[in-house]
Amino acid sequence: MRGITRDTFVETVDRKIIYVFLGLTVFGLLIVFLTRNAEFNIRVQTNGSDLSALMFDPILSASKAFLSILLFLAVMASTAHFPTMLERGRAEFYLAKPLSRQSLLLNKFLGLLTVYGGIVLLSGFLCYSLLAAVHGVFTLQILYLFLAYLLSLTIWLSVTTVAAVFSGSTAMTVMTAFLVWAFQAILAVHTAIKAFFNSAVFGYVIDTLYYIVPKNSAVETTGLMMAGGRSVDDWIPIWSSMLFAAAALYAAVLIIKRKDY
Amino acid sequence: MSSCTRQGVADVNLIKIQDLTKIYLSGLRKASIVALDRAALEVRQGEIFGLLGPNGAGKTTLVKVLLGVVRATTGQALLNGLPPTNPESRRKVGFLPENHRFPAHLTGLGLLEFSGRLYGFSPEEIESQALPLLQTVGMDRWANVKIRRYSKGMLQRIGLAQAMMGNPDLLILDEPTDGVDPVGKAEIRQVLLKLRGEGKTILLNSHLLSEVESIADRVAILVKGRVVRVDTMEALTVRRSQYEIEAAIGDDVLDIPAEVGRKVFVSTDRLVVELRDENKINDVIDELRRRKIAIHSVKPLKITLEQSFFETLAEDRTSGGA
Repeated sequence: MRGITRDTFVETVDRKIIYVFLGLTVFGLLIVFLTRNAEFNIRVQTNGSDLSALMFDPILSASKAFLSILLFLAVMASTAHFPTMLERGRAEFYLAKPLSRQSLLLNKFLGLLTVYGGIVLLSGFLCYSLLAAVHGVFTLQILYLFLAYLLSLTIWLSVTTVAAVFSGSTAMTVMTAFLVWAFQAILAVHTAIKAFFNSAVFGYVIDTLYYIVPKNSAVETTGLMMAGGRSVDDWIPIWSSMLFAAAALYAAVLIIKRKDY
Repeated sequence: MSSCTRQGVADVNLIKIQDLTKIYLSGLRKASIVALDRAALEVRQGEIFGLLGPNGAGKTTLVKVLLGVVRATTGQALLNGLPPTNPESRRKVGFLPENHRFPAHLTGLGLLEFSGRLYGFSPEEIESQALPLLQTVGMDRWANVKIRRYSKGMLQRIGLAQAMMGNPDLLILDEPTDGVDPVGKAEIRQVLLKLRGEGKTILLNSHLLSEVESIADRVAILVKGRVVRVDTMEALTVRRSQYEIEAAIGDDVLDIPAEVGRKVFVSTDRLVVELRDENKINDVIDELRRRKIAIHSVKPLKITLEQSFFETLAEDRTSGGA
């Protein structure tokens, strides 16, 4: 496990991916520093699960937006790791070692999660800490938002892992990630879509898809609400997305076990 | 305890394959390509075993099946007595793949360290092995240079070093001298001979017949996925039906009766005969003695492995390759 995680980190450094995150973090810190004298209407006083009010909390909104950028970059950057590892000539190096294919896949997955999750959390935490310190609103509840993004990254990595193992292609992996992103964005408004089409069959299909497809945006929003001290009524996005990630990883294990390299 | 067939070679099979068939299904219509067709062979502990065959004969597929990289369609393959699906079968096995693409982001030393970690070695074990191995393959000067900067020959050397990490009992080398200059080839050959001296078993897959001939104990010849011949190097390169006799023949006209064989070549001091039966050599010697011709030496005719290989291919073609 340690070997593969370390190798993933070295690969990330070698591909200069880590410098992009470093640059983005410095940029974020610079923006926070330059806007240190700005006066924000911090902490809109509303109760319950009022999401729209939270959206106007500049500190939380800025943190969420910054984490979203980091997450997007992390997902895109991670798509090439599995296809590279399983390309002809490279796969033999790994598969000829006394490791089961399942162990190899899960170790690489955990390696990617550790490296990219670590980068996203560290960068996000640094920027949030400075932002919150400057405006005197630091709260440990922000950890909910970070945890939600870590979960979101886990889900995205499970999608890209199964796509990469199935296709062996970075391009296909990126396309799959975009497709899932588009689906989950559409299904985020599944209630409105059902009302618009007003068809029982269509509604059933949309509902089924809603439960199957991961709901990363909803997971991140849930984290935002918890970080903002709001109550969460709908936990479906969390558990159904986690189930999806587990199923996707299981499928990836089944595929890699059956494939010839 | 196992008995020894030659010094250092034990009757323990580290590799055993039986009726091994691999069929690749390709394309949307799933056209089948038979890469291995009921192949069977055994590799004994302590021997250097050469795997020969034309392109597409199934040599690399056989190696990949053994290592669990490719799944067999039918038949059995055992590595260290275990099926390839069991990762423990590869615990004491080092592998140098053909056309390898080692992680280019690593240095030579980094590759060996990473390889050691994948085997589960401790940092101390890795440290104690990595540098000596780099020295063995002549890559210690390039230890901290990224692999992407290496030439083909350097890649082969570092590949051999990573295969030797952990002091494996069995080395499977797929085209180990591919792209290596003559000096490098000789050095690699010395490394392999040293490993054989240490009792290591080596499965050598190579196109270079002279290379295999110079170091292998036994050889298997594959044609279209079938193992058409498995033999010792001596059996492959010595023609028992042809003898070379050095003798003071002079201008004597020698007649070899048809029931004994025929003359292939004759000069004043050398005679090559092809016999109907290996035992007929005594008849030829008797005839020479009867004529009071001094005999200096009698030995079976040696041929190169290359000649033997082409003869085997021709025989297989003649017999219809069934």
